[in-house]
Amino acid sequence: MIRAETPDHAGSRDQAQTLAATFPEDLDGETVLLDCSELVVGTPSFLDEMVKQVLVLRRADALEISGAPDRARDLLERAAENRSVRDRLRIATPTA
Amino acid sequence: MPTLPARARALTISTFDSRLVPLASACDLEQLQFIDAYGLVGTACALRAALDETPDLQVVPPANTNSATHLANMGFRAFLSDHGLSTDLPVQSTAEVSGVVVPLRSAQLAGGDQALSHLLWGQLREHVDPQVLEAVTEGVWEVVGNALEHSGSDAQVMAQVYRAAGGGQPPDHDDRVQVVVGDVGRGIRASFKATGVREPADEIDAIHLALEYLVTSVPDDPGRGQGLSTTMEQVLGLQGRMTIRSGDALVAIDQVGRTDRKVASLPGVIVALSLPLYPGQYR
Repeated sequence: MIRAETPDHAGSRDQAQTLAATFPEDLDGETVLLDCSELVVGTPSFLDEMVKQVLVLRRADALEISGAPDRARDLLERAAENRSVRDRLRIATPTA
Repeated sequence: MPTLPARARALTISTFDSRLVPLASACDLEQLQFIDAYGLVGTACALRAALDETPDLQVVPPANTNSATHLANMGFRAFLSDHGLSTDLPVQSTAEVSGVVVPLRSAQLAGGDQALSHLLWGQLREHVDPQVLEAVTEGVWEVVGNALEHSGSDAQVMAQVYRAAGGGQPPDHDDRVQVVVGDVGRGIRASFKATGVREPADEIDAIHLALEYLVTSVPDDPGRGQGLSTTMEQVLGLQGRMTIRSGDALVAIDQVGRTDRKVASLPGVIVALSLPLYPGQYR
């Protein structure tokens, strides 16, 4: 499993591309765990680009999300739906 | 040539004001009485564009001392200095004044917008509802991102909080935060036409297209085209208003509806977000 953390202010596609550049170019057979617990600001563009980089361009088996605020979870689901990869996005349910 | 009013009596430059027009050889602010964040970003963009053709552009400061001080505190003096323009504006005050939370500044690529986001968040958080803070910060990222990607220019940004006299609790319905982003690029219609993805009939049509979810000038990328539409969704959900000026068109959207206007043509795009500080808590 490959692990990564979002910055606290994650707004641009450039940031997502920079983060994804640390991953191998081919993630077939791999799962990426994205820790969003430090996320304060996460825009639709950043989160969409993460979905694109991990699931579309690098073809990871799954993108697992942990610690994401409600809005970020909604935006990630929308992005995955738009890119027809919703079945490979797994979002951890926050514990009370 | 793009510019500002050659000279005006009791000049005001603000949102929904059509005074932002092409400048000639001078930016004459001598009669300035009031300028808001929209007016200042628009003025800065008009100056940026004019400087390409008139490097020795003259800037006449406001005769009114309070107006001149306010203009300096909004970051205009530093902007002029950064662009090699001399001015008689007073030095910017170090005290927090006039609700300026982010003085006029240029947003650059990568690390620059991260710094802007932290600055905006940190300066604004004590003044607004958390949902407004989230909407404004996200919106600035999206709009600056559009400007940097599509305009071929950098972006000018400013944020200011406006409070009714007294500033008590609960807040007055006129208490608002205004955040404005402007560039001097090709505008929205030309951006669509450049990639051939869409052929907007005019600039107003182009703005309307840009506000549709998943409509983008970027070809072959089905997730693009979220920035402006989701920003609008958030702003309207919080009883705010969004104004987009591109070329000769100005479109304003609030909960009541959408207003389209033709205005004097300026290069680039100016987007203004205006939200109540605490939606639903008016006195």
